[in-house]
Amino acid sequence: MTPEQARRVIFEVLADIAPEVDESTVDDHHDLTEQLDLDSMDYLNWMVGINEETGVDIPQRDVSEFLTIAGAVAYLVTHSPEPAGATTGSPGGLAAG
Amino acid sequence: MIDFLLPSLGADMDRAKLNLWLVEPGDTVHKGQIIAEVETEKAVLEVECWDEGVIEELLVQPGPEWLSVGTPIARIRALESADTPGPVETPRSPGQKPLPARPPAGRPEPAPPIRHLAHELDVDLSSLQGTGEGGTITRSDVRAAAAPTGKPATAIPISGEQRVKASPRARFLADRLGLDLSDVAATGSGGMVSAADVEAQPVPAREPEDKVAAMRRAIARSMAHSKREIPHYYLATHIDLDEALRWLEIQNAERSVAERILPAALLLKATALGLREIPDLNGHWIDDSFRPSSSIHLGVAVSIREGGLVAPAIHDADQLDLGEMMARLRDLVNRARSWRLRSSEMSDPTMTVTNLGDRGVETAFPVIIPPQVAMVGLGKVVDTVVAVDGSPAVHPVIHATLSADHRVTDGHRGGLFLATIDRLLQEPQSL
Repeated sequence: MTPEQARRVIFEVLADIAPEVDESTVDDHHDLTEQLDLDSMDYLNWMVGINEETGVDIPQRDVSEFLTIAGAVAYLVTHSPEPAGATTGSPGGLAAG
Repeated sequence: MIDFLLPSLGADMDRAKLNLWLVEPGDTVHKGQIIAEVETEKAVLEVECWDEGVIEELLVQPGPEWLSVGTPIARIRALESADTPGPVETPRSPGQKPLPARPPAGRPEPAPPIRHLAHELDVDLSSLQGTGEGGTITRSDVRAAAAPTGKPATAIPISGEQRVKASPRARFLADRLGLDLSDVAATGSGGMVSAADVEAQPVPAREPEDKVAAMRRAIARSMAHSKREIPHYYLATHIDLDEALRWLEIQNAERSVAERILPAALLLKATALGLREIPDLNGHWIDDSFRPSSSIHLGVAVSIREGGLVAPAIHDADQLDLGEMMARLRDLVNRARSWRLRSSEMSDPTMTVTNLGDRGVETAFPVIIPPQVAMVGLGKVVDTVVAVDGSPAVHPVIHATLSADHRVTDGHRGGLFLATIDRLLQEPQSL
């Protein structure tokens, strides 16, 4: 999965939970729950939605990786089951870019 | 023949508009089936049927007129009791349509947000083959199914118009701008109106119908009634959650993200069990006397993103295990936020909990929702220095408050109730 694909899934799921959120105003590095006024149920639903769409498991110990958009993108890129179709290189390398 | 009456829709809610029927004359209905959608000033509610039979006639058509609670809205012919005593199978006629957004039996139930999306896009979940884990239906499945070749809407839409397919964000924007979705040219896949389509539309002259303002008026009525009539008393205590949260973390380590239990579920279960021990906080004040409830239907205050609040019930909350409690809580919160609650959930909470801790508040002082006689407020979990065996230690601590009706109980009983919740939370494995 490329960072762009990860980002698309993240915002697609978010739009179902907080439809008023405008992607262009979200700060990728700022705490998401604070920024978008998400409560613990919204936050859980968001992670469940991402898990359903990508197949990436998010164990309890890794929940803190999802506090920001940047963290979530990096996590999905690193943990998605297959590298992106056109790219055969290391998905970890993509996260760094 | 049974006259089906517009049911009670919650405290201070004595009227509603009929939005749509989900059944037609000739359809067989069973107990608990959702047969219509109505709109009060506070919420859109799904109306459940409490009779078994066949719809003979729909007495009221969807429209903007207000109907009083108790108005006959349909006529149901009771099923001829066949010679099958004992457990009766739920009657379903061969031609009966599946309800929109209901999952088929024998497959994993789609999560509430997926059901909501299916409803928004008018996709029948029973016709879908899920591509997710174990055949679960995913968002992509629902979106892919919202194609022009899909089956037409089964519900009878408001004032005869087709329900427009639109993404949740498009619906939100249209609502805010006062746009009618049927006027928006759709460019999304399968003729779906996208957010971009709505933004491209010139803003119309007509004023948007303000759902939030209507909800505000309903809250104003109920809360003014409460503060005028109910002599509140307030108690507060700190509860050490060290044991409970440690235990929960161990439980969650083994669970998938979809099955994870939030601390709120634990707190609700402890509150429900506390009401079993102190039943005089569980019930209603009606006609100058307290009427205790034999069931514990725990109301949960849910804030709506656009503004406002609803407090629907988790039925028989004391009898649910933690996994069930979490599933019910998640379903209830999601439906409340997508304006899809059921009439019984609004009409029968026996005591309510508000959990403002998520919003960073340390202490809440709730206003009782009449005709209930108590309400619990839960604040934020805060790391606090506490004395453990004579030495200082840092533990997660929550501030729990009780607002109760002094006509029914005194502070002593209220104090016992908070102490009971505290005791139960120190033994989380027994919850």
